[in-house]
Amino acid sequence: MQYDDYDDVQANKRQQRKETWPPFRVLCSIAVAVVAAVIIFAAAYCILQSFHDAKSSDALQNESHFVTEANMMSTGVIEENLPPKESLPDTTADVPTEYDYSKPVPLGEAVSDDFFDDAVFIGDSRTEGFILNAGLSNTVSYTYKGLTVDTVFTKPVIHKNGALLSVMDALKVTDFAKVYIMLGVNETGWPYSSVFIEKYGQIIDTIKEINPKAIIYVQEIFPVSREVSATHSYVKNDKICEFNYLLSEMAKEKQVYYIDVGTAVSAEDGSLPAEAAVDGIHLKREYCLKWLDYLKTHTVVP
Amino acid sequence: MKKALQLFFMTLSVLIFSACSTEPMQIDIEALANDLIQNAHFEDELNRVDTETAENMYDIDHATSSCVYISSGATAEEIAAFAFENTQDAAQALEKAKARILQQKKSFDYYIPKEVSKIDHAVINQYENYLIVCISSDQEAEKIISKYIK
Repeated sequence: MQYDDYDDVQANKRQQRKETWPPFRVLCSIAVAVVAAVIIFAAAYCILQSFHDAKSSDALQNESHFVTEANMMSTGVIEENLPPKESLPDTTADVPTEYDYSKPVPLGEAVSDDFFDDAVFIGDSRTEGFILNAGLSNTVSYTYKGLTVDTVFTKPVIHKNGALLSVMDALKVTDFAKVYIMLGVNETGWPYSSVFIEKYGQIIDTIKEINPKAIIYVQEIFPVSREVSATHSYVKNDKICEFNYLLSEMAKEKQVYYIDVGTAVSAEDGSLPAEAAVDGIHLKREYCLKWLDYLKTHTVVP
Repeated sequence: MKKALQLFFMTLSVLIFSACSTEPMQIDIEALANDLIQNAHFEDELNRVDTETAENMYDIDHATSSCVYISSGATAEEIAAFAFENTQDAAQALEKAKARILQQKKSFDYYIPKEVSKIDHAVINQYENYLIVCISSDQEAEKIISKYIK
């Protein structure tokens, strides 16, 4: 296109604009004014909203301060590297002051299923099967096949907020007031029992750092069947008994609650009845329900 | 040319009418799961779980109905049958089921390696709006499931 033609076209357009129907120009002006007003309104709303969010964020940081501090002390993991915490832990429960930690939690009135709403279960395949078979879908299950007192710190097996975390890292970003632990059957092949109990103690210490007011239940390790105990290369009921003794002593020392839940499922000779498990180790549903009933009737009342 | 056009339109009409007359697949997932429990081979005792537990296990929250049986943990055996509103939902669930089965394989490979071969032969199939999973000790599951696919 030539420049002269271009000038002509522009001149025609100017002429057309002059000839435009006057009310149309008024309407255009009103429309522009309305759009401008909407933009101003939206901008003002965004500014106010961001100010409000900043205030809320400050309040949240203050309330969760102890969690962040505990995390950094225990593992050196900076909280920002972890997924956001879902909500804040309920730390209103008070620990009973005159409790005899040298004894297992005594029989009490049965609680309902919602008692476990704010609980986290940490365990191996036995606990995994328990949560599913007992239908405890209202609780948090941090379980994995073959989990040990060592791998709870190191093995990333828990899917949490789109990330794969170790059990203890997942706990740091979880809302909980109670923790139930059953670990040990996979560790019975370890050469030193002292390593087992030392690592178990570290779990307790870390949970206390994450949530100092959490109620921690240490469940004794279930026995295995007589057949498994006699034939398995390392899982033996004698070793389980030794570990359970060490656990009860540790519970006393660290002032956490020991539950002798093995009595709920054991035969008179202290072994797991043959009919309790297909493989002599993992409990069938009927025995998972006995386990659940025992937990429901052995709780501490804050 | 005229004949070719006639043939084209006739074929198109047949295709349209046949598509319109196709009814969506209906699978009785309760009956199917029950048939699998009765007639496929399982070493473990399988028990049915409630809907919430089933959805948690499979990370599925949009099934219209479900029927899931699990083992004690001694084996990888499992039956899961889900029905969905549409094929897209079922396709999404299929991917989640595959992820779960892969995770199961990883954990059993370390813990009870003999279970891995069962997982390798698992049935994990989508049939239109349905998702069927079966991990059993034999190869009968496919045959049993095929009876319900109409």
